[in-house]
Amino acid sequence: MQGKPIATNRSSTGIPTGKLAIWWLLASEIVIFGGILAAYLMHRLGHVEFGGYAAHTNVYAGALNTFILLTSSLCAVLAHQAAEKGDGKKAFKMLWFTIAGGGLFLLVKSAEWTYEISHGLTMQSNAFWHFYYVAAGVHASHVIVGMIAMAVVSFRALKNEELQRVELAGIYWHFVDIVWIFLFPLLYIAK
Amino acid sequence: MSSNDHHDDHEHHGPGYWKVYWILLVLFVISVLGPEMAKIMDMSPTMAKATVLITAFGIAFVKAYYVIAYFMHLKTEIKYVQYMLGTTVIFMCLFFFAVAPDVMRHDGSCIKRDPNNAEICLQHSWVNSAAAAQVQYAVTQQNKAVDADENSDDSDKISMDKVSGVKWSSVGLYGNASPMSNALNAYRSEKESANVATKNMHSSYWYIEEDIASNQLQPHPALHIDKPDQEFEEDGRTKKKNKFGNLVGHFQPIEMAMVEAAKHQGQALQFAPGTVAKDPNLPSEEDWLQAEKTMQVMERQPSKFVAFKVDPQLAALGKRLYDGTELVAGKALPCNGCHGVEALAMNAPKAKAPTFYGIDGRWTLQSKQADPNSPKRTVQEPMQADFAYFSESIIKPNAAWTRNYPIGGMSNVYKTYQMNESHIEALYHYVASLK
Repeated sequence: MQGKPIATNRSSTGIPTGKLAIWWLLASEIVIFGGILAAYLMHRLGHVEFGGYAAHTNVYAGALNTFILLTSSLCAVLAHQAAEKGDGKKAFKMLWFTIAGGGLFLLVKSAEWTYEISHGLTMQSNAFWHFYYVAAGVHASHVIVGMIAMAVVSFRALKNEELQRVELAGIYWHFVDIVWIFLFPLLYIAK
Repeated sequence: MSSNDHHDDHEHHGPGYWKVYWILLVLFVISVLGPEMAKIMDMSPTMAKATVLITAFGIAFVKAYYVIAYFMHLKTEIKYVQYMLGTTVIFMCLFFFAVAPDVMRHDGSCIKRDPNNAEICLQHSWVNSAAAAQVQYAVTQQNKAVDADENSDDSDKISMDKVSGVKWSSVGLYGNASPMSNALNAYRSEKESANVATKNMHSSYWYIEEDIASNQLQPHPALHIDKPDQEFEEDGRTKKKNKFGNLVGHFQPIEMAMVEAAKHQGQALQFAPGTVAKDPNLPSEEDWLQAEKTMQVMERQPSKFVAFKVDPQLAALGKRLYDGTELVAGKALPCNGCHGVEALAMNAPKAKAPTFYGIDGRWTLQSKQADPNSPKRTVQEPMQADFAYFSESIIKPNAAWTRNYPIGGMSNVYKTYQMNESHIEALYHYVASLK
């Protein structure tokens, strides 16, 4: 059997190393998404025509996805709560609810994109649609990564092992949720 | 403090997870409904903008706060994690504010001013003409969108650039006093005086269509004529479209009538189907572009324009006149058949004529007859639309035309409908209130 990873419980920094790593990861993510969102915002404010283009996005699909992600965030935090109480089984269940939320989110997203692309609204249409696909696309890839991470964590959690990882995967998932909280009004609501 | 203490700590702070979730859902509902309400309640643009900003964006920050504070536990996390993340957010803001002035503005500070008028800038330190052109192009396209979105079948959508517009009127193409337009105008006024305009046929073009249908007017054999490919209902009329997506009743019959008129006058027509004859009397594309550049500069200068003072009662009367619920000499005015009252892109289905939305003070480019004795037309200096302009456009519809709209597309409603100044005034109180 392998030894325990050093990240698990060493806390000379006052915080478990694994958790610190997640926060650093998110700090770098803020720069990535921050760059995309800030660039979008500048163009949105400097180009009146973006409003007209944004009118073609599907608010209902965007709203549904916001609801799905908020709910999946609740599942992620409930998984963390269960893990803290040492209930690996419940944490497993809650993690898979979260993953299901991610799946549902991607399903809605792909239906939305299929409709838009088939109606000629592609990345090449204009700057608005370019931002739309890049921002939502980078976000969707984070959803996929989060789902994989949680699936990996969940099976150890089921055996009541490495329960501290449940919170780490959760923190990442909440971040993905927060990005969407801002993408939704920017891409769907402001017309 | 050990990490365990830390964990126990935050369990006792703040609302429970479910409670946070319900708060998030309520905020979510507000963020979706707020902007919808702005639309439904028909708020003024400033109010609507404020509502969207507060409900959609303001609440996004509140939602993010709840998730960060209570789901991610950042509120109870060790302090330097907050500083660490805060720093990256500051970097993001730094990026925004450092780059935004270049991206959001399309020109730099003014380095040369008009000696006669200090408000007019002759030269900027830099100009992002590509971005400015892109905005201009996109807004024009969005305005033009004509019926493309709703009525046309994508498979045979053909670029309207070459076929739209100018064929509407003989006046625009051939000048006010050319033999050709005289012949056609005579034909039209004969028809117009013989027929009382009804709800279904309020412009001369429809009579011409009728006459072609009843074989009273023969199309020229050399002219390629499109059979209507589709019929549809709009504004209570049956309209037809050809394969170019043009309204058959508006464009083709005029062309045919002109061919007829030309035959009577012994003239040959210069244009091929689907293209517009070049008339040396019309301003060239370069003239328009030059004027447009001037306009773009002027639009950004402080304006001395004084907004029209709207009287709510007269505006209400104007609205009824526009809607056709208030009759003029027993007839409903045809304004809303072509002029929309919605803002820009939303105006698409009625883009046959400029929208009335925001007309008071709107910058516009006109083409006018420079000298009454010559058919030569020039592009006028950019101007801000006001009551005098509105009034002239009704009384003398062909005196000037706005770029991107059919020349002579506006019929002489003032005469046909026996309007008077008070109607125009009421209408202007209404349209000036649309902003």
